[in-house]
Amino acid sequence: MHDQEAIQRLKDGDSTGLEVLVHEYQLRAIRTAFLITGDRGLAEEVVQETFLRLYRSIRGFDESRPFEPWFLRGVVNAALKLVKRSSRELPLESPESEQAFHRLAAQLESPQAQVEAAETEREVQQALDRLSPRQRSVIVQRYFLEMSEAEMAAASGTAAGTIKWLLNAARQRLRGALVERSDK
Amino acid sequence: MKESRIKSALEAIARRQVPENTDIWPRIQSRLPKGTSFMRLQTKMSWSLLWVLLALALLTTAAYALYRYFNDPGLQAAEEAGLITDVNATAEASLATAQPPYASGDGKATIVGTQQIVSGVTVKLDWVYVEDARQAFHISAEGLRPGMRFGIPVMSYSDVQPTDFSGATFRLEGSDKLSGTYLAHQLVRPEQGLGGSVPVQIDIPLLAWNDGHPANIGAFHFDVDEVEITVPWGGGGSDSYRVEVNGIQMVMEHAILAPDHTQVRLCYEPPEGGDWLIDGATLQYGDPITNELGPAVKMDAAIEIHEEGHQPCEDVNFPRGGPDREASMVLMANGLVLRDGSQKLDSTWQFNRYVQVNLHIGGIASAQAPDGPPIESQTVGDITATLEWMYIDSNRIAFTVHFSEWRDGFALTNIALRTPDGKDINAGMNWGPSESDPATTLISMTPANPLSMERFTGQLLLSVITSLSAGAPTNEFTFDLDLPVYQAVTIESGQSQTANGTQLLLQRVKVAPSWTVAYVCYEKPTTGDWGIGQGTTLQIGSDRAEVADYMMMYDSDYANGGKGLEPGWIPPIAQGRCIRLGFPVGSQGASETLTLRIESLQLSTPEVIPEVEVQRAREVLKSQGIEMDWMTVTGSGGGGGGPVYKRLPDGMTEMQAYERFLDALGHIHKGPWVFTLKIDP
Repeated sequence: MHDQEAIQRLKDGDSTGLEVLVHEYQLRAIRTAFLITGDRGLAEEVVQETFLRLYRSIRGFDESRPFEPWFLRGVVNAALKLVKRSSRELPLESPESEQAFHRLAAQLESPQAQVEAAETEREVQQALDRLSPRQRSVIVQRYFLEMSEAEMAAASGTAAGTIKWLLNAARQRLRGALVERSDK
Repeated sequence: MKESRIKSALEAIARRQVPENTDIWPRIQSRLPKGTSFMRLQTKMSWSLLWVLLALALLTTAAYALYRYFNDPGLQAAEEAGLITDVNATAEASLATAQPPYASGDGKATIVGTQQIVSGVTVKLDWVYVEDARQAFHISAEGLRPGMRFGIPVMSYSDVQPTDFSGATFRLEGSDKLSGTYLAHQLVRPEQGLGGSVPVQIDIPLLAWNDGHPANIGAFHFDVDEVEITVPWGGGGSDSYRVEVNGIQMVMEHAILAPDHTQVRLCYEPPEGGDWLIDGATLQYGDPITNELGPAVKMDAAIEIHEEGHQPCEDVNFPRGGPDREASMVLMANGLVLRDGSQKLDSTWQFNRYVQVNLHIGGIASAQAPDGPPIESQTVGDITATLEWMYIDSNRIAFTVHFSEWRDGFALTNIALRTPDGKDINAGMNWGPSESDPATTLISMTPANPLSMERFTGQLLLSVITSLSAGAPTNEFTFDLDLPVYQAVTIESGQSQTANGTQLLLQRVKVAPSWTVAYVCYEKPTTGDWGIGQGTTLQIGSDRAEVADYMMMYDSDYANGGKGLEPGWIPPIAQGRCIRLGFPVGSQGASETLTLRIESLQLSTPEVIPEVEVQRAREVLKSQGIEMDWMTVTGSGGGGGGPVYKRLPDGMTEMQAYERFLDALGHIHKGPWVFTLKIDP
């Protein structure tokens, strides 16, 4: 069953439509929420609530839009909202989170990441944990969900310039690493 | 490349922390309301038929078993085998907090309170609300004299040009004093991005209506300096539709639902060559939950609207006031005609709109839907539910409940079977009231995972609402249960049958006393959503039933297709699809023959069928004496398509004609595939 048929079923009041969408998108949604919240339980809770909100507000869904990015946008926003409320939040753009952000960018570009996956993953995980929720969501949207900067700006209601600024450091370092790698 | 490297690292973390077998569907499902709004039309039709027949059966006392299980050979056989438990337990209702039917908006309205007087009519702008994809305002008005009407309001914004307009509704209530709510669906997005605030201007024309001829006698104008733009999760939409029939599009732009009339603005691209008008139109209001419609009323006036740069429109008027509660609205434009009457286009454009009363906007108590009757007058404590009998086997749960003091407007909204550890059994369900006794309801549930316990101990929970209005209280009933669960016989078939070049595998069947499930796998004729077609039956002994439940278990074309819905079930094929079919027929321990007959595979109809394919199929049908139009409906609130039959051969039903249409489109892959097994208990 295609998304559109599932959505139409859901709009018709048939909850099997929701079941299809849950089984199709829950994994990607929970993983997205996990990367932002850093907590699997919270991630599942976020996605569960997002699906329930979808169920309640499906009448408002514009079927001319693709479902997945629309839904994942909701997941990112819900995850961000939840984690901002939690005590785990670091102050937005604090010096500490800035350092963590740059450390993450450096770790992601490292050639060793290709051969020392487990170690890199652990370090990346630790780096993610040190980022502010907003920075985490930007990283997840750009590199995990592969959203364009314009999509990210529209989804978060943030100016495109801010998105560019947040991603700039990671891009510079990656570019350098790729040159270094090709030189070898 | 650089992005893929980062993506790999993030995916590795996510995969490790959130494994493939993660499944939150049971938790989500346990929180879904299981209300009347979730009965499918097909289900309602079958239960209606069932209850008509039941009413006839009740004419004889000897037909008691038939009363219970008519048309359901599985339950009938279970009853004859003495497996049904007469429970006859009663429960009093307890009152639960009502939940809104869907999420509230996150933002709040801007309270205004500005008042204007034009031609002796006073209009007060109460509040304004601007959301990214929908905008609304509310007025109070008095002094409107006979023959006066409000025209279509215009809501505009300084520095922002709204886009993607998809319909607006102006709903007026009251008599001497009117309360009016305007709701438009369009995007209001400042250049700097989503959100922010925007100045709003509102214009409301005041008209003199003289026997179908409107004249402008003034206009109300309001300026509101700054209104915050709310950006809710999920965006917005509308129930406005653009309908295309045989290549001609019609749009329902606005609707005014006044106490004594309804006016809709229909715009269309007229066919080339001539001066075309709408030939006729009808309007119906109905129940948004049951989709039952009231009588149709014909239009009594149509005013042509010609605006530069805009396609021709007509304001079509009906002598029918708008509803005072949530309602469905069906408008049919019945054809176009040349102004001189020399030629007609005999097509029907049908528009469906959901008339929303509660807009779920914060801070506007006056716009909230009227609650149901006051709690004190609902005799909540007097409603008594009686669980008359109950039956459980591993594939099915069935029971009847009688409610005392049942009244029109009451509805069963939730049914749950809860285990002692507080989990609800994940099950699909059908239910329907008796036409002879609407207070008695037969419920049949089919669990997603077969029940493996010997006895079911737990609770049955039922919820009844006494009004469909948001905020209506819920009456909850709880029954403690301790019943035997009759187990199914599992037959590992492994049989394969080939027809029309396609092989079907019957992996296994699970035969319970009242319900049988069959697991069928096949390679699809083409990529796409190929399920089973009409006429699939299962026969055990002399009892035969059509398929009543369908569940997709696996599809190699889907990313998560391998995640079986049943614990421990593994797809027996790598490529293709596996489905689970349910039939209301079973076996009570006798040695019998089981025959599964699948007539065809059928491709689910896409939302949009290319026009060239539709035309080709229509030509094929024409040669068979079938004339039909194909209507497509699009819009931000929904979309789809469907046939409109104009001529059928004698004796042919619309369903049969539709089958021919699907066949002509190549959406049916004919079999049959027939499997025969021996049940040896």
